[in-house]
Amino acid sequence: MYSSVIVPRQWTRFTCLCRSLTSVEGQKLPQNSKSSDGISPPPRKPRGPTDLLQALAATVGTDPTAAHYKYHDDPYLIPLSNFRKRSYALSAEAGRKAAAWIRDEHSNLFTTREWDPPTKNKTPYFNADPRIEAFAPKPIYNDASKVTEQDLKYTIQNALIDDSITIFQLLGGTSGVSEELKLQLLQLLCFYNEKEPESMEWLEERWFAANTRDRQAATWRLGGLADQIFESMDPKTPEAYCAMIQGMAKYYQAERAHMLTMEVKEKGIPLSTGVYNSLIGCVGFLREGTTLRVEALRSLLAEMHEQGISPNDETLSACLRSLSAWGGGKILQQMALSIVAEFRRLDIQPGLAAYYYLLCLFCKERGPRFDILSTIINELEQKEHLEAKEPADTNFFITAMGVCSDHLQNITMAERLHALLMKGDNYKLVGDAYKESIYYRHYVTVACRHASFEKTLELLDTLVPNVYVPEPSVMEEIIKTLEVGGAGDRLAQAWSQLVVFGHSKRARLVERLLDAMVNTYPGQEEEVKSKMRAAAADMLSFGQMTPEEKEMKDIRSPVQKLSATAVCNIIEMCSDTQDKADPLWKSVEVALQRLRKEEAAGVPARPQALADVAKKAAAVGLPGIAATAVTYLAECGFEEAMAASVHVLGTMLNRPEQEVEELLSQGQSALVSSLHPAAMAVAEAYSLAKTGGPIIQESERTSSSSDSDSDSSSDDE
Amino acid sequence: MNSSIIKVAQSSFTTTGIIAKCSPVLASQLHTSAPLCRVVSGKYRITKKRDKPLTYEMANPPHYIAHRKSWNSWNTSTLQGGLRRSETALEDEFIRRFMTGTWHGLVCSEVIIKRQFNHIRVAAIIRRAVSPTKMYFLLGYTEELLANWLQCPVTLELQTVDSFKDVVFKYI
Amino acid sequence: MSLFIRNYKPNSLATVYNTKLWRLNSTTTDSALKKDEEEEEFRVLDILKKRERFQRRVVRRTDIQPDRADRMATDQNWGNVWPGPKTFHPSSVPLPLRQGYVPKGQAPPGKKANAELMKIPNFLHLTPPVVKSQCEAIKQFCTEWPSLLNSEEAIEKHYPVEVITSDYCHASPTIRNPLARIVTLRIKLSTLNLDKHSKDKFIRLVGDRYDSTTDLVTITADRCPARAQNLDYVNYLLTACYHEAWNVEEWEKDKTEDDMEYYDWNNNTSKKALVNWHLQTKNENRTLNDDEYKAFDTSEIPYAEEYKNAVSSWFNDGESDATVKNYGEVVRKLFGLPEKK
Repeated sequence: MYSSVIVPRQWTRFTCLCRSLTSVEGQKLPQNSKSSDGISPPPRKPRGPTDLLQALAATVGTDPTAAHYKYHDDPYLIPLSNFRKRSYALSAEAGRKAAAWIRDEHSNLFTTREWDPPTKNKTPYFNADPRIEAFAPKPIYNDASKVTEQDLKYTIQNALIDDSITIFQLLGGTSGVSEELKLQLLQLLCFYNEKEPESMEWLEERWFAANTRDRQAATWRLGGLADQIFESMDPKTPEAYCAMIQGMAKYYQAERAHMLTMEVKEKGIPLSTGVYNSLIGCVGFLREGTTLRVEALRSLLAEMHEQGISPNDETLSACLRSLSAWGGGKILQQMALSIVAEFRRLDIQPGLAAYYYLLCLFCKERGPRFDILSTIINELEQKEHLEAKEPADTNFFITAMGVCSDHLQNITMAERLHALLMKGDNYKLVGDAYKESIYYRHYVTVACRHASFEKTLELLDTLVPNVYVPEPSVMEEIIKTLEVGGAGDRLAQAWSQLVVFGHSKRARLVERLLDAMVNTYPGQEEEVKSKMRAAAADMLSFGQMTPEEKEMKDIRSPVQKLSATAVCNIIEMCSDTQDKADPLWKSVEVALQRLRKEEAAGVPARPQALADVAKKAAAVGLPGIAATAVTYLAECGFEEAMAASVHVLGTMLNRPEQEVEELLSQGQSALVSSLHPAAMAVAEAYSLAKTGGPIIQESERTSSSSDSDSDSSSDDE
Repeated sequence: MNSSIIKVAQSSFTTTGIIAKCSPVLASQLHTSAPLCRVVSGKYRITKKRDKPLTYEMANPPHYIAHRKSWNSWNTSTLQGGLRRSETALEDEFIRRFMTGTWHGLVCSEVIIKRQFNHIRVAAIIRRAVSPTKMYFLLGYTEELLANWLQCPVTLELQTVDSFKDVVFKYI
Repeated sequence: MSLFIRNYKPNSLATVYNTKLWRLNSTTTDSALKKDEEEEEFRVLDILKKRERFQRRVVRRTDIQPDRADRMATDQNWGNVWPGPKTFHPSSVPLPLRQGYVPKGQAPPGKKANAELMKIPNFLHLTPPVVKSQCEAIKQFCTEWPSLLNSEEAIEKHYPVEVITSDYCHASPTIRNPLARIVTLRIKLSTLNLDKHSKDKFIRLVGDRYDSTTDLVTITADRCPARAQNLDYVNYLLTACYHEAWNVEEWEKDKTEDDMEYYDWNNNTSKKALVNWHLQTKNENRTLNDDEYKAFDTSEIPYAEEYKNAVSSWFNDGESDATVKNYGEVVRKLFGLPEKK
């Protein structure tokens, strides 16, 4: 029956070839990959279970238009600011946690089939075959649960500290558990200091955890369960001593660790390399002063030599860590270099963590410049791929980029470092979200300051906003670069970016952007100019809430006001139009009113610009705006107000300036009857500027009325 | 892959002997709703005001499946010799109800379920009526719970629209 | 009360539950009542149902960002954008797609909010350049094809045994398929080292697994639950049949002419008659026993070889016009008769 299955001939041949070679997958084979006689096929190349997948994954590069793959690919769901990135990722994980909680609470529903007939035994049922451990409910232990040593083993192997402590107590504490399990539990407790570690399952929480850098203080729990277990152990094995000393040293209980080490040494119990590594890490807590500390470090190393314990790469990084923690100075630096050289002779190459400590030691913020980084990068570039060996490895790239940006101020070095990070799968060494953003902050800053304009733009296009969202300080740097580069459309775009990134409420940044825009505004093409005008108008309307909203919202944080200069800048840009019907005049008017109502901080820095605007408005045929501008100038007491009001009035009345001045020197009452309200307002402004005070009592009223009917008046003309 | 020939399950073969036990041929040929299928089921009545909104899916009655519209479930169990027929159908129904219940009032289209190997991809069109943060919570919750329930990795592939009006094809 | 019922279990604790709950209930109702009295005496009947104006939260919707398809460069690497199988999403695919049936003259629905486009499995992740790059990526795991195995014949010569198994890809949480256990082994009979007797015996042993038209022996095993077991079993069957074919049992000598699977001219009376006739024509009057008949060299008889073939084919291939005609011609030649006109 099955002989009727039609299969391509070649395939069947291929299969028989394989068959004659390996009947079962994974059989061991000679590993010379050459066909010896031209007939027998070469042996199969060895490969791991995921090697094929990794090779395929390596063909996929990054897509600058897409967000990180943990975010859903939909315009509504792609985050664009740091806040959103964080909250979206964390809420997705919160959902996951909720589901996992349900699974664990109602584990019986997930492992049996409720709909099976009652005659059938409710045996555990798993949908997947082979069974997938990750989908199985996790056991919950409490005071009422019946536990065995198996449970304790399970919890220890999965590093569930709290659960293992509960089970340990349920099993009868120190007396009810075998020595072997006690040792395992002791090691676990010492490693984590009896604190439940953050679960490996919840990646985002770790990624966005605010600051998990351990405090350099004695946090070791004195008299805790670890001590109890240690006391109860009889005889105390070398492993138990090692675990205790390492635990104390890891949590900076240096004194006790040291004492215990002395005790052990008297008893003649051998210690491991790990113990010495941890002792080296906390040796600085025992002594004060650089020379004493260095002396202690030296004696520890000598002791290792005496005991015949060979150091490893962790010893090197522990030494450097201690040295870098003791401040700077020639002695320590010399010491570090000699240690590195000596370890090299032992064929122990410094890892990323060691390099990190070296950078910390040499490249101080206000120290002399040391170009140690270029040597390090040269060495790292030689390596095929970088391995993560200890947690401090993730500090290397962020520190190195910081050195590039602040210490060396060298863009080529920064580019080389970035290329190194992007090589292969080195990106895993970037650390967590916090470190990642600091890394890019340094990189973008150094690029803005020292790279060519085109290159900076290219970099910004690839990084912002999906990989990195600039912080306000970096944004200012970027604006500065754009201003120098004279990229008007980019500046206009920068405003929308500010809004999206959530920086639009920062007045300082907006003012900075406005300054940059005004400075680059002349000399742009008309199309770009219109974009910039639109951006300026948008800035004005942004943050202005509707009255109802104002009522609804109790103002939690006082909204920062834009400065008068900034508003002036907006007015200047918006008024650059010849068309009377242009809606931008509307925003000019709004801006002027804001100025007059003193909703903007300070006074404009360049009143001449405002005077120009007034003249232009008058020329275009919008006397209301011109009048407001002039009045504002006069109220602020600028000298430009007089000349401007004369000029504006001249344009309005279509008379030469001398005639206007004559007219203005006439009495107030004569003017009221003969002049248009807008012109009247200008005249009042003139007199205000001249005398420094209003002539008639109702000037306030008339000027405000002139504001209100300025629209209708301009329509009339 | 060694010493074997990849053959996708759909390639034809005859079922006899032991295989008959694995794939109940009879079961899939038993239809109990034949008389109604072309008359009433899956069809919508025209309203007086002609204001009943229909999506594309609703506008095409069931006999147009494979002609004007395609299936909502994609898997290999309905092919000849496919395994887990009843289980797959039941699980798909569970996923649909779970989705419409969890994304309450947000699902604007049918829930489309595609299965490849043990990976289940659930696609739907969702209204933008809740904040993205809430949506992400629901996304994580749905994926994790379904994955644990069905013991397969589950991926949600959503498309958001402004309102239900976006998916309306015509009014009858 | 419902709480109570749910918690009620027929055990000693029930009473405790009971009292506790009642007390709890009563206290809550009391306090509620008091509260009501304090606040208002009567509730106002709202006939027109003037609903209190709900403070409807105005969801300040952030502007939806433009599709990322708009931002894509024309020379981008599409494989990076769409790396794996995924449901179609309009904002990520920069193609003006439409799908759906509409009456003539209308445009089909566009790509946004189109469920039909989300249903069909797309192959956007397997564009030709991507397939090419993926092939390049996994080449490192391939080994060279042996250079001398360049033709069908060469392969057949060096690797005569074929093993056919099937793997099944299907959509389900299990990776098992019962059909995957079946193993088929095929081999050409001519490639086995068999003599006349053993070949005959081998064919009899394998029965209908031997196809005489293609000369293929096909052995299938599906009785064991695992493929490896079936594979072992198939190999065992082939080996056992082969060695059994070479064994000659005592009873095999009892094989008579009736048991022959084909007509052997040398063993039959036709040869006897020919030999007798030949001896008579040479006037030799000898009587031969069976073995002498069999060993008699017929090559000295003119046309004897053709006669033998003609008779054998008549018996082995069956009686037909061709065989009968052939026989007639050969007999005429043998006897020196003129050919049939």
